[in-house]
Amino acid sequence: MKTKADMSLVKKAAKGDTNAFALLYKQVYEELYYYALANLCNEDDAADCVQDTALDAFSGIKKLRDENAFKGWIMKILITKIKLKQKEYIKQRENVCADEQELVSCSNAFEGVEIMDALSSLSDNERACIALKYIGGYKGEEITKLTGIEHSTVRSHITRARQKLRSFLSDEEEQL
Amino acid sequence: MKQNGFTDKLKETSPVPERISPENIEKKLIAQKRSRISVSRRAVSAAAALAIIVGGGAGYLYKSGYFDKELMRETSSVGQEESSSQKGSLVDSAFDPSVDPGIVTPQPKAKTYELTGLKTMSYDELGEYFEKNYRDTYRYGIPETVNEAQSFDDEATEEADGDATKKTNATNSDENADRKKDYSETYKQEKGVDEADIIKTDGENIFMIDDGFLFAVKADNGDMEEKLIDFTELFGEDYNNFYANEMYLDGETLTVILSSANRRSFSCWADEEKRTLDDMTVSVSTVSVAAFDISDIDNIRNTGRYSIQGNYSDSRMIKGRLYLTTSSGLNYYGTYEKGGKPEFAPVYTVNGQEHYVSSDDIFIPDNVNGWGYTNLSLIDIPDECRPISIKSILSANANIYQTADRLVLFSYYYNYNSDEDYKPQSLLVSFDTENGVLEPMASAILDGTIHDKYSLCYADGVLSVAVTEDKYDSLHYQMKYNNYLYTLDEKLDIIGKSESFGDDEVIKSVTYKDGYAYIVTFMQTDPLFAIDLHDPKNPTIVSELKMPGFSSHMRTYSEGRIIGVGSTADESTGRTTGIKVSMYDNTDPDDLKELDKIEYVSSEEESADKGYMTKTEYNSIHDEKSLLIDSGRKLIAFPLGYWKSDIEKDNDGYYSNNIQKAVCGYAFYTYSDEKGFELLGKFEDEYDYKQMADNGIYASPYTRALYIGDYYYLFNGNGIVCLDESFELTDRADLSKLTEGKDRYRYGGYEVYNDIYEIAE
Repeated sequence: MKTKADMSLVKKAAKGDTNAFALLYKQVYEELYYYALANLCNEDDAADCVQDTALDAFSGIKKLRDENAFKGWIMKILITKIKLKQKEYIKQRENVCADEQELVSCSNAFEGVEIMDALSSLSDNERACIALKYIGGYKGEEITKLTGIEHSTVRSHITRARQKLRSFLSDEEEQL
Repeated sequence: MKQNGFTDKLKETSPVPERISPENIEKKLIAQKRSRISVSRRAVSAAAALAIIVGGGAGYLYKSGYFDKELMRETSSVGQEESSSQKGSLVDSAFDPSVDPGIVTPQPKAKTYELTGLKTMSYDELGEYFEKNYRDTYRYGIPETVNEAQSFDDEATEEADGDATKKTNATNSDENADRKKDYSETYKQEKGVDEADIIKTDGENIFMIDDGFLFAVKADNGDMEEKLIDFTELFGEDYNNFYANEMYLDGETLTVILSSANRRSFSCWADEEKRTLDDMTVSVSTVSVAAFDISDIDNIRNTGRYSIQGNYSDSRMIKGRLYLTTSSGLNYYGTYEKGGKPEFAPVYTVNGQEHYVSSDDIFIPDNVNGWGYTNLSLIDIPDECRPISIKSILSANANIYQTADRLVLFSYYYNYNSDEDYKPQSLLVSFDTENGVLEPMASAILDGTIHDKYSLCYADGVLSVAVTEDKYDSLHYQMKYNNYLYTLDEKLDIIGKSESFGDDEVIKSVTYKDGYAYIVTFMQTDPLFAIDLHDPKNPTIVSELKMPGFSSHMRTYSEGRIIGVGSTADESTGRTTGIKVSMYDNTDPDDLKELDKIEYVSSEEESADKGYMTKTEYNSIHDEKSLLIDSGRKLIAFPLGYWKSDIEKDNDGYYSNNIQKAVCGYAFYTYSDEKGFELLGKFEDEYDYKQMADNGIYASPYTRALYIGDYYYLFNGNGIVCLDESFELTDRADLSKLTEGKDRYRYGGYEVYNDIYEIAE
């Protein structure tokens, strides 16, 4: 729901009001962080990405006219940041094939944390889809819009990822 | 944030770090703001000039009030949108959308078609349509999706043209066709329909695009002399931000398709209730086409330019006429009033003047596929890149299939109104392109998804389309697949449909030849189906050949021979394991045979003395333009790259993978029915993995190969190598040296937007 108060937050932020921006950011930052974490499996990198996203979003918020669009818009920035970070990862272990990448990510992040291990076993796209669905609560077509992954592929990514993560997602069975 | 077991678990195991709390972020913002103010004040005048450069089309500045047409004309050839700085004026008398001087070449009158499944509206009706359908859903615009490099999807093949890499270039002028040619050309799906690529040669010079830069290389019997074609030097700073995507070489004309990001201003509500307006600036992607006269390689001249809004999607060229597809977002902000400026219409630029696409040329399919436009431009390259025709379809992200007579846009279609009743479909829009025109004909929805452009074939008034239908089986959490071949008439009504084939497998590659469709489906093994299309009402499956692995690309090699390139696979798991090249016999489509194959299978070897395993892993081939297949020359060349690594198991049971070396190269084979495939030679670059990181040189797989006379040229991110007829290295051109110190905004990334924004401030 759009309210007058929210509308003015975006406007204020656009005029350079950092407090207004902080209030907007407060509504989404947990989600941004957990989304980044689920994708990167690294707490430091996830926090870096969210921080960069927030700084960029502030300098670009003049572009935005509606607080309703704020979440999707900042999410789009975050997704780009995450992709860049993932590219860095790939560069670090240049040309290691997909399986080895999984092995590497399994062994270097969150040892002993079950859910992170499970997430690490997913492909980048599977992680992106499952995280948007379960952390962000986005629907299929919205995930398509955010990631550019075709809807049919989103479905199969979620199906596959869900099987791998079933014990954590059991509450959500019916919603699929 | 959503509450469920998953997010609870995440929160429990890793709380949000304090440094990104709203309070701390605010502190950082304040600090950042302070450091910026002084810089941005100083930069105001510079920003004015820079915005022109960056904009490349929009001659106004965000909230600076700066608008000087004369300066714009002097500074560059780019135009400006008239009166866009007149805030608050809804009706712009200077702009008359009905007058459209952009298209100056009279369009040859095509047959008029009664449109099926498509309609046009006036701008006013369009405004109402968007207000009704768009405003509530995605009021602030969806981000324009950047066309991601698709594997085989956007690439070239043919139907009948077995030796397409050879001496057939219908797009060249006749005199060129007569000249004796001994060099390879870009592979084409359809005879006479040229396709763009990142390398092109005229037998003397090679043109190459790498990382958005354009290079020219003089190739002289094994020696190379390379140079950068610097847009900045040729055209002024204006071109610095342009990123070259692909090109065409037609005689002495090189046509380059460039991308950039523009800033454009739109009216939005300052206060909707009081009906007061404001300007907002949005970053808009633009595709430009620039033609160059390359008759004198040391004096390359620009001969024309055309721009249109959107991201580059695909293109074809027939006899000097370029068919360009871009996809652009819909910029509708709810402020349109009748008779006003149709800001929601796509914008194109001719001769530095901007124009909105005419409402007569904006087509709305009965089933709109996403909120955005697919813009098709037909451009006369020899005539200074003037547009002959521009058509915009309200539907996002379409791919092209094109023959000399027909152009078909196809895209995934999703019905937004019924999320529960999920059914993947495809949206098709067909155009008449006979005699160099562009005339919409019909639009229709087809059940199932289309794998790539090779899944379509138009011949004798019948369009054949191979599709995969998938259904989600919620009982077993599985996807169910069925494949069909449809035949459609000119109105895209279904004439016939094959029986389902390759159940629970998906289409991997398709090729058509002489009234038969050859289709590979795959899940664990690779059946190759032959489907008889001679009776369009009744497409019939006539044979099926099963074998391990699959072809992700097929083309006719010679009469009765189809070559397939793809992957080997483990039959029990369906997991791909390496490279496979197969030669099939289709002399009798009822009885398909695999005659011979080349296989490179990844392997693991136990080495007893070292206590670990040595693994060799082959890179799969995922771009059919990387294949150099020429039946005239009896040549089959493909990229061959692999990794060698040592695998150790540590005490915790984790495997650590130590890559020792990377090899990037090409394999050259010949084929004869008597002896099958025979290896002619290989070229391999070896990289020591440990040294790679230290030296900053990375293994870069070769992605293209061509030949000129007896010499072969291979291309990768590090440059070009030249090989003689025995595949020995004769010269190496390092292109990265030429671009040192030349920064370029990467098109399509977030950075572009960010940089532009900085400048605007």
